[in-house]
Amino acid sequence: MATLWNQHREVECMRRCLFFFFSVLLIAGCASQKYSRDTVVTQISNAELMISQAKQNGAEEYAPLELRLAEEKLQEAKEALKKEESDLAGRKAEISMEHARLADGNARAEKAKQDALKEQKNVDMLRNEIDRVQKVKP
Amino acid sequence: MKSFLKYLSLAAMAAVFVWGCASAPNPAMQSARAAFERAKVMPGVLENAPVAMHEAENALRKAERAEDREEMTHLAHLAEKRVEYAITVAEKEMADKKRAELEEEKQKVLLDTRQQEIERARREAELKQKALEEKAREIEQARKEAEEAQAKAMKMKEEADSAKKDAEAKAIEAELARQKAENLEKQIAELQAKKTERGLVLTLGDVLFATAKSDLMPGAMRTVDKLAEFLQQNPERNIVIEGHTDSVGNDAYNMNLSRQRAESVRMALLSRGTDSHRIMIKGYGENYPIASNSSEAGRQQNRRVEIIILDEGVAGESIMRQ
Repeated sequence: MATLWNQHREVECMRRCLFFFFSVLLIAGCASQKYSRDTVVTQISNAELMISQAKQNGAEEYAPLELRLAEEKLQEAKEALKKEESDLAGRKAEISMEHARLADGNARAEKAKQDALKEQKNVDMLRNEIDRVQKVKP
Repeated sequence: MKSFLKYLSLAAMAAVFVWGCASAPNPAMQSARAAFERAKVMPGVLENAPVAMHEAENALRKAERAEDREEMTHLAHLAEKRVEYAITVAEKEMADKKRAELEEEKQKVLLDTRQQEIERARREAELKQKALEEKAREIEQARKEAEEAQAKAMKMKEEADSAKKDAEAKAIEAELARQKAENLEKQIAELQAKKTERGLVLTLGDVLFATAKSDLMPGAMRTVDKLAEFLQQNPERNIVIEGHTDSVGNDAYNMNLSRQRAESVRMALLSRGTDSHRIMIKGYGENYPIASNSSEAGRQQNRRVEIIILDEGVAGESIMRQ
């Protein structure tokens, strides 16, 4: 009987060990600490840098929504960092960087398109002018 | 029974774990993949933004490898943003290319225009040159015409001058002829000739001949001299010398006497240098009296020699009597 009980206790111990092991695995798998505080600080500063670069490229004019999103996410990242929520802050900083990158790209594309359009107008105007001159002086 | 429940709970926990970390359908992931696939087939994106697209793909792969759902959602969002970014890069690249093309086109248009401008200027210059040449030709033509006109005018003037000179010469000639005619009239008047239908008739009276002879008396010489001078000055006039007598004596005698008297006048003229062929003589005897033979005065009038001065170019035969 005693051996039976001992056997039972061994099994119980194994079960507990297994349960603990699975729990640890679960936490490690789904909620592991991915971002250190230093990493997040660097990311935030990168996001700020990219936002200012986007602004320099005319994002305020050509991609205001994307810029605003980048700034909002940056703000959220900073707030999360204050609350010592590094993971959340890191993700916010990352998404802020992507928004900033997109704002910058949009701004540059828009600007290039407008330049092309301006050039098109120049060419058209030139052609019209030449046609007009040639009609006057055949 | 109790242990069975415990196994069941363990199985459920494992399922939760597996579900939590394995890749189940994730809307963010699907959206990101779809965005990537759309971008891949958008015209010009892959060619113009190969690096950005590659990075987007990498981000997508990273999201696919995510350890849990939350991480995957987050990475999928990042990847989708990367896809959108790649599109903007491609758009910028294409716009830049288009702008470069337009710039090139503008340069080409400007160059073409300049060449056309040059060509037109060249044509205009040619036209101007032609116009100038045409003008020069016209001027040359006008100059020639003016020269011709001047030459013509000079010629006309010369002709007019010569006509005037001719007229003057004619006038002088006419004057000379008039003077000549006047002279002739004067001479004729001096010769005391009478104008008749046969010509100018000059009568040498009986007193100028010896009685019943043909010799000329010295008194007749003045008249003969004048006649000879007249004939010399009027070389185109010929004369006819006719001898006449009265009715006394026989016809043969009278005929002979009249002829001899005419011959005497001829000889006198010949001795003064008159050409013999200009003089015709004829004796008519008593056949053509100019007065009655019944009185001495009449008979004296009938005894005479008539010298007929013919008009210019008239021959003596045309006025010859029977």
